[in-house]
Amino acid sequence: MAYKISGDLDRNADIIVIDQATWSVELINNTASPDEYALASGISTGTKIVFGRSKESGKVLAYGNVAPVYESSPLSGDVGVFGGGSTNEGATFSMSYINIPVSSNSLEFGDLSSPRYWLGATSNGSSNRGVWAGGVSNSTSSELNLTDYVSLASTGVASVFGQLTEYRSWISAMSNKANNRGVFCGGTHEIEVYPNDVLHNTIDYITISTTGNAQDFGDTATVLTGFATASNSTLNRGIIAGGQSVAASNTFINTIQYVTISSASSAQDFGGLITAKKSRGAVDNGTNDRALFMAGFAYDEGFIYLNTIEYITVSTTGNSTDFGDMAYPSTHVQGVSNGTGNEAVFSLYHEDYTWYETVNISSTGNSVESSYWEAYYLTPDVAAATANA
Amino acid sequence: MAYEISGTVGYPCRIIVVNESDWTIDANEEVGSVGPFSTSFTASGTKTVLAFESSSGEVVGFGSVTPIEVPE
Repeated sequence: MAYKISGDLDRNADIIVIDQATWSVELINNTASPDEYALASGISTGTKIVFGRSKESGKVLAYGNVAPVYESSPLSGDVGVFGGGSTNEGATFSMSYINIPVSSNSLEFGDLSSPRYWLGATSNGSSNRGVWAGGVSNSTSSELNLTDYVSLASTGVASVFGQLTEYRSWISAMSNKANNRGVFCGGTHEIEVYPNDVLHNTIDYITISTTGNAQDFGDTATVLTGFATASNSTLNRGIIAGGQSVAASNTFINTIQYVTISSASSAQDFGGLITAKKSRGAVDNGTNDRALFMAGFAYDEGFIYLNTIEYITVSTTGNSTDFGDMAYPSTHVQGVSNGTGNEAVFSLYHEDYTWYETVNISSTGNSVESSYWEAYYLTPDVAAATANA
Repeated sequence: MAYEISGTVGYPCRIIVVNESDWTIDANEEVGSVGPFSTSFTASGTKTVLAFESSSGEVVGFGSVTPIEVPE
């Protein structure tokens, strides 16, 4: 992570950094001379003891509880940011980003305020604020109601935004972009351990450009978890598609619901997906009015892993239409797009790797496998993604 | 061989002994009460000795400290 400790020296010295979490030496700089110095390579988050020892006299000057600062870098163009999720070591803080269209493996963005997975994310688009909410942490093994925000204009670490109205994970989020309302739908609250989970029909909302706690918006038609969300941006319609509607079951639905994001109310019937499924994979092209729903899994005496892509016209109502196929079936998929630019990037987990596939939202056809991959091991079903468009 | 550094602390703190030849930590222990302390380790050579008070973050440090050799 790009953390930095800096200061001034008035003599030649060795500078040593000790991490207070592990009580190990984290960085040794034997070449510091009288001038400003900056230690960046190898510094992790968390408090440190930093001491300088004069090379001539052996005199030591030391400080404890030193918090390194995060070294932020500006971002340009359209970017999609993935946050949280899990690695082999459990829930992660990590956030990564890609350019849209994707032009490299993912790059380091920063950290959420706490490690978690099965969270939701949305943004106010070109106003450059991204919000991540809910999820599950390793330390509590229960749902969080914490909401974080970051600026999508530069890499950085998240700050706390507020709290959702309820503790829940497996939520999905959408917004009306520059109109600044973010909406968080449904989700799961496991009481103790699976299968004692409780599904929610909650919809709550925030004003993305401010901070504070979420407020009640309305309800989904049924309790719901593991579903996909999209919107037509400032045209104010939000879509909720598919999902699991009965706790501790494989009861998946094909229902598509909609809300008017600018007006708090319960969801209305829109139509149906071709396949009843559980998937959090969706992208949209903003005011161009098309939403795609990707992959996931269905159930018919066993799980069926899907590679299908379906689409709807957001401002209408009706059933979804076949768009094409993904290169691989995946239960684990997240998507980001550059809005009216029509470029979408899907992050999908396949054979122990997380790959990107791309598609033009305004067309129909199969998605194209990219040569790039997620470099931070964020599995896309349990992470959450949003973009600055 | 065993080596020891001893002294007196005026407040509960963590004593960290850092080997100045390779900057590894030779000793790291909480001293919970005011008064004399001693800490031992096996590496010879000069040390930087830090006393860290966690609530304030204050650190008092001394460099070029030569430990005394003690019977194992």
